[in-house]
Amino acid sequence: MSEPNDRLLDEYLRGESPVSQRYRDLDADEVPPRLDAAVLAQARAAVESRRGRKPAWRKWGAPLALAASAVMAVAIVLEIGVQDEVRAPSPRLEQSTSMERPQETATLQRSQVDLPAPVADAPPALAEPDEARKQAVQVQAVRERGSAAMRSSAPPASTEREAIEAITMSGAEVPADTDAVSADAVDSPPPAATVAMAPPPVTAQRTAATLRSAPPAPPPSSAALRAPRLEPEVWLERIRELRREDKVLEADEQWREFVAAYPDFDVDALDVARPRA
Amino acid sequence: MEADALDDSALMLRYRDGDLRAFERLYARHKGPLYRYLQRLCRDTDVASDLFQEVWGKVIASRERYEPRAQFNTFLFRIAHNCAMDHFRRAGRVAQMQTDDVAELEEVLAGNEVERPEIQASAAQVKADFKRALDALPPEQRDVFVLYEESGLSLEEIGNITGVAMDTAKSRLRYALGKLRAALKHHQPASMAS
Repeated sequence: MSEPNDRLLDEYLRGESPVSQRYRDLDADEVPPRLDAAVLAQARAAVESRRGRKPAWRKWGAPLALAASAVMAVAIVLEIGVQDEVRAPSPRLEQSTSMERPQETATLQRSQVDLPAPVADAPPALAEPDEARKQAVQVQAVRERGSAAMRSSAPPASTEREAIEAITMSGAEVPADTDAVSADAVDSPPPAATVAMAPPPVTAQRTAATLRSAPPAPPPSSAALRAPRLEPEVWLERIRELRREDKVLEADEQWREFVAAYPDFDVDALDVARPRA
Repeated sequence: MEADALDDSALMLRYRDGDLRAFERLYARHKGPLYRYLQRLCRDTDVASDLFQEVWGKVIASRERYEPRAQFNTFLFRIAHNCAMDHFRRAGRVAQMQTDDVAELEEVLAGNEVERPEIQASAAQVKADFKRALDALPPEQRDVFVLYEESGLSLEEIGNITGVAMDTAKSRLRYALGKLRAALKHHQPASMAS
């Protein structure tokens, strides 16, 4: 039975079988139009949903980009701020000290007079301002030394800056009262000169701008620098203290100013406050 | 390039990229054979319509993963075959009429012949008898025969689609042909029937 079937199969595979012909003569139902419409609508919907669909990473792309930008901006601002903290003190100190010299000096001198001597076991929080004040006095002394040198001979241009920078490097803070300057600046006359400095750091710009717009105080006179005067005995004691500390230049300067302020005051010929021959 | 000139795989790839006209062309090419295959395999127009829609839905859904490694025909009819088998499994009809015995079919046809008057069969009668014989084939044989007729695929490809070896597909086709030929034999002159 398999032999005739093989023959039929070969005939069929060659396309010569009446079976294929009969099969093709069968009535064939056409695909109903509703099926056509349903399938094509499904295909169309798939294409449209693909067009309208964004990849997941795209959906979150804009918020992520925004967040990344914000983080970067904050990081940059913080980084610049940190750099300013490192860089800025020197010019700021220079500015504030040069612009506020009269008030600052007066304040320092007043504090020197009014404040009691530092207690040896004072808490660090209280000791630090004293240390800063001492260093500010040193700055002042260097500045005065510089001005004295300027009066006497060629000015050591960088002496004052170097001294200030040295103090700044030591980490001490020099009291600055820039807010007071900017507050006073509103009604003050225009500046005769502006503070010349390298491109100011961002965080220092406000102070620098304030200082630029702030009118410089009138050139401080020697009397104004020392007003109010110390009592003669107190002043002498301070000079003696400077001598004991081997701060010869400063002591000499103080002595000169003392003599100028109190020409008639009787000082013992052997007083240590006097300059050594 | 016009969509009409592209082969099936290229059309499917274009549809994957969003070209709806490519799909329309592809659908127009294959809807007839696929519908007939399902209709004759299932012998139920409603079931065939449901399966037809299901098959195209799967083609559409799998367009992103489609790769032209085989003929589109193979891809399409594999889906159709699997959908039909799932349907049969659900309906519990797989084991229905599983007979490879041509003699048994001949008995069925002989019974039909007894019911008919001994007259010259008209073309309509031949067609009806052939249709009856086709529907009487076991699903596996009918599947292979209709696939061969409608898809134009080789026996090897049909074996792949139906999940059997080529020899098995060939054997099923051989049995199917024997039964169909036997149905036709009653309407042929004695010289042709031999």
